[in-house]
Amino acid sequence: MKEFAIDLLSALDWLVLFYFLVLNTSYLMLVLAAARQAGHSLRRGPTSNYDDIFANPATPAVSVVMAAYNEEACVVESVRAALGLRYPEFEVIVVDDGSSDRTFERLSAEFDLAEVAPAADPGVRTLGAMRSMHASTTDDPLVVVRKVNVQKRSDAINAGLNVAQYPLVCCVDADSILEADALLRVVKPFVDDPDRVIATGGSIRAINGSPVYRGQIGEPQLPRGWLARIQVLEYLRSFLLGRSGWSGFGGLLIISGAFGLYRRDALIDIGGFDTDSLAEDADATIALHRRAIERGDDYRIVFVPDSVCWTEVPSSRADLARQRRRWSHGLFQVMSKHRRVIGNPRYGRVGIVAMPYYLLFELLGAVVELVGVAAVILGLALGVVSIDFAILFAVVAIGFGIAVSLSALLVEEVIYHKYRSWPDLLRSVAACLLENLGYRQLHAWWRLQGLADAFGNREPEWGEIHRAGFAAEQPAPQPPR
Amino acid sequence: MTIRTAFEIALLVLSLTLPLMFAALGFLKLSREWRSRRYDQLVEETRPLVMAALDAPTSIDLSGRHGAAAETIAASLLPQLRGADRDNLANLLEQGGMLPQARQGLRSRRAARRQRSAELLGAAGNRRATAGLAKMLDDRDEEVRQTAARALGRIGDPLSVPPLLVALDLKRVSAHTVSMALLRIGSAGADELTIALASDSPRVRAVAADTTGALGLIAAVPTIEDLLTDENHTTRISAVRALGRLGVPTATPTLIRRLQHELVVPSLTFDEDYARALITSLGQIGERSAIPVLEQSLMRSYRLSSAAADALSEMGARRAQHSNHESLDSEDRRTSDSVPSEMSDETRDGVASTVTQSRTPQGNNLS
Repeated sequence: MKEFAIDLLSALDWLVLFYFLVLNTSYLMLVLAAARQAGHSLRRGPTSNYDDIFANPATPAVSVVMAAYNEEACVVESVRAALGLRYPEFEVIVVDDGSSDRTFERLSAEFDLAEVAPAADPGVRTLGAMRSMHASTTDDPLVVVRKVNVQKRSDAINAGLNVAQYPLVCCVDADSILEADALLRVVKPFVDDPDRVIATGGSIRAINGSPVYRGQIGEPQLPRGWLARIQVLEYLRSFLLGRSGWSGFGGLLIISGAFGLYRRDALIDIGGFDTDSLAEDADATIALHRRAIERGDDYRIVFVPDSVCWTEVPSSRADLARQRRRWSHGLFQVMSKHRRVIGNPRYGRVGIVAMPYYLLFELLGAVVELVGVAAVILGLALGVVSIDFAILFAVVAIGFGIAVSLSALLVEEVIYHKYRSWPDLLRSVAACLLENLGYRQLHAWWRLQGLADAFGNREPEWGEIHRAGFAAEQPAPQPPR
Repeated sequence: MTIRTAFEIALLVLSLTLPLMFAALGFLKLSREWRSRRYDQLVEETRPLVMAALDAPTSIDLSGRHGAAAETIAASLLPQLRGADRDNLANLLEQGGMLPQARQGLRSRRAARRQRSAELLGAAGNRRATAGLAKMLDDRDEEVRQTAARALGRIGDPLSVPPLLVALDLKRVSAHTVSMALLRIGSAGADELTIALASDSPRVRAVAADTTGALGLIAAVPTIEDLLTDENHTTRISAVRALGRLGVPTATPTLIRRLQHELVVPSLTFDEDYARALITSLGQIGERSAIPVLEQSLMRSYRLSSAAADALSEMGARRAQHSNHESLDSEDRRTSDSVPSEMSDETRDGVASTVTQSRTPQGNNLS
């Protein structure tokens, strides 16, 4: 019996080792691929044609759709940031999704809103009825739609989509701030390759702790709390470099709901954002891939790393846990809904590589990580694993994770260099260590809970994420390089 | 190999790699700061020399360490300069050997260098580079081709128009880039543009229509009107947009007919983007005869009705200005006073409540 247990644990150890090796190597490869692309852009950067995009009358107009639910702390700054975007022709549509706080009142006071006749195209189905529609009388291209809340962000975005007038629709969150030229940058693939590009996404960074003045971010600073600092690193590795790498490979599966630009007709064609999905952004991106591939279209979905959206990340453990459980639950829904694509050669790289990767490493990663830890503990208890081997296992697993995080930090330092102070660099290095010594395990636990919720068909916990709002800065802002 | 050995090897590799990565982070930050300080100092020393050369076209020595800094300063300044200032700075770069080097750089094996060279030559308005840049429209690197097209636009030589249109037709350069280049070349390329309106390529026809509209080439109106029924969707919309920009009243009856036709076609063949473009253009032209069809459009989908409301509002605002009434500020444009007086009371109320915003573009200046 003991021999069988030893054999079983040994096989499990090999399996877990192999899994960790493939997972971290894939992270490393994505980081390196992203670094290569970023280096390429950096070498050619000064010749980029953003001024021409701004000046050209042929630049497509954009409808910026912003869903807001109880965002009184930051909605005015976010809308001001959106209205201050450097872009030739655009409108901002704020969908107040039945807020119970003063979100609407703050907007109304700031932009002198006047009620107009409610009207929308029935482009996509919405669940919550539109209550009223308001337009700014301050000469800002701003429309505010008030609707009944059905506890689905996607429904709010769909309502905005039905009001959008322009051929491109940019979805942003009301707790986010776009850099002034973010729209010019994220639209570039559309103007360079209008026949093929159907969606683009920008990078998401944590705004906590950075000063904001009149809708513009000043010199970025790392957040004060360690939980938010670790998320800065996580966003850098996964959302910026990871997605850059996938985009270069042609397998970008997620355009973040916080900042994505879509062809309006393409979104309407897939029925808008799925209101039953907890990961409507990933669902929409995969649906766009599917629709294009099934039709035989020559298409592209592109990630634009230097187009930046700053968003407030959860700073308390409870908020973060709720968010991550919901993400994991949502990813399960997406994988179930699009299971036909997984491993299906008909869907090319998306079907053969990207979807299986997300299934094995993003969705089931938490299970394997925790099984690995459990196997070592069990082995220790049964006496089939020595304590020095257990330590060796832990040190290697954690060390590899730190190496991957440090490589992401190196890319940030060389290419993007958003955080300029030495103390911030030291804090980032410390965050690399802390991320792998506790946070990662905790995160795996939350993801596992999300999976359990999905299997148990339990309703996700929404709850409100507590917003601190943006830190004000009095002097004129210094735009990030 | 046992699992323990594998872990021990991994640990060894990590124990070497991690300290190196920590050290690299510190080194990179230090070296970035040092380079940045050194560069700033160099720019501070060189900038007065470059600025002096702008005021008086004298020859200055740009050899040595100041050369690279001068090139960078000049490259950043050139796109913002016009006329004599740009010529003086370009002369400075020619004498300093940078423009000859850039012309050679167009043949470099490195794409990044070809691209940087094209950018500099374009910014300097270097006509001697026109032929070389035109050849680059067929470069194997897409970004280089786009940069070459932009550079040709900045140089402004009408001889570039045909190669630009060929590159557009062959999908070597995007329509957006070519249209901007043609706009920069301006009316000097009017003859080629008018010919291009009858091109076999729908891409070329669309860009030619858009550009003639933006450049205000009135003589092209009859040919553009023919494109209103073009088989290609993009070309049709470009033609409508062009007529709106040109603001020629004689085009109004044709536009009205097209819009009336669109409003009665079966929903399957209804082209909403085309109808929206027609409404916007009728608003831009501002003829009273368009009011009934615009009123009719108010009853249609949200996208059409809001475009119609904007168009009627724009017509009202313009008429009010023409009448020399009190000047309309942006707030007035949203009130029913701003809509044309020919409208029925019902429509005036409808417009006042449907007009949601003014959509005055921020950009689109060609400076």
